Amino acid sequence: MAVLFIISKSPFKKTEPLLYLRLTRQNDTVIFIQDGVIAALGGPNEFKKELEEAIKRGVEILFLKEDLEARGLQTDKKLVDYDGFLELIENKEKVMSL
Amino acid sequence: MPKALIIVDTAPYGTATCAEAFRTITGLAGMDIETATVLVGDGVFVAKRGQNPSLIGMKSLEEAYSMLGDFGAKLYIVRESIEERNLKEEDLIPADKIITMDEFRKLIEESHCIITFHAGG
Repeated sequence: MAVLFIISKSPFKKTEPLLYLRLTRQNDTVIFIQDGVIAALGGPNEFKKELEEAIKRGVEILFLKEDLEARGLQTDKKLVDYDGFLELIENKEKVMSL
Repeated sequence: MPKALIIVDTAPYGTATCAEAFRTITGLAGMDIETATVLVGDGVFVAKRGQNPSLIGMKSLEEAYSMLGDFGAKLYIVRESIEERNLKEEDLIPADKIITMDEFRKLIEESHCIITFHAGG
């Protein structure tokens, strides 16, 4: 079963983003929104490592375009706009938000 | 029967979050919804034995969460979070099960609705 994880907290401020990354499995999607987009900077080492491992096991990593660009940040990961985000929520079997 | 999963990942007393989670759990269980609670991260401190929050003018969440079974709700605590905080199972109130992160993941997949309680900010 594919789960969509919505992460809205900065990995520098909170440890929960790291905790939920550990719950991800192959074919899941993680989207960083709001302050979560600060993950585009990499985040603390432990978080960075967990994110790389998630990518390796086939987790899709996305950033909400509007929230990223509003903060003047950039990423080499895929961006999704509000409409794409809504589609994701509609299409995933399970959604979990943080 | 619908299955609700309540996730509490924040420590008690700093905010009203854990108390609000308790109100939600008992409310759902009272509506004949199969309700499971997972304490994870700092949420495991909700289950710490020996709390005395009357000292800071608060009601005991240890007592509240000890009563979840009376409402028909299950209580699960994540083993990895217990160990990371140098706690032992016997430091905590009895849970229906101490679960691994893998078992936590399975609960997410089996639930119809997931509500996470974490402190804002």
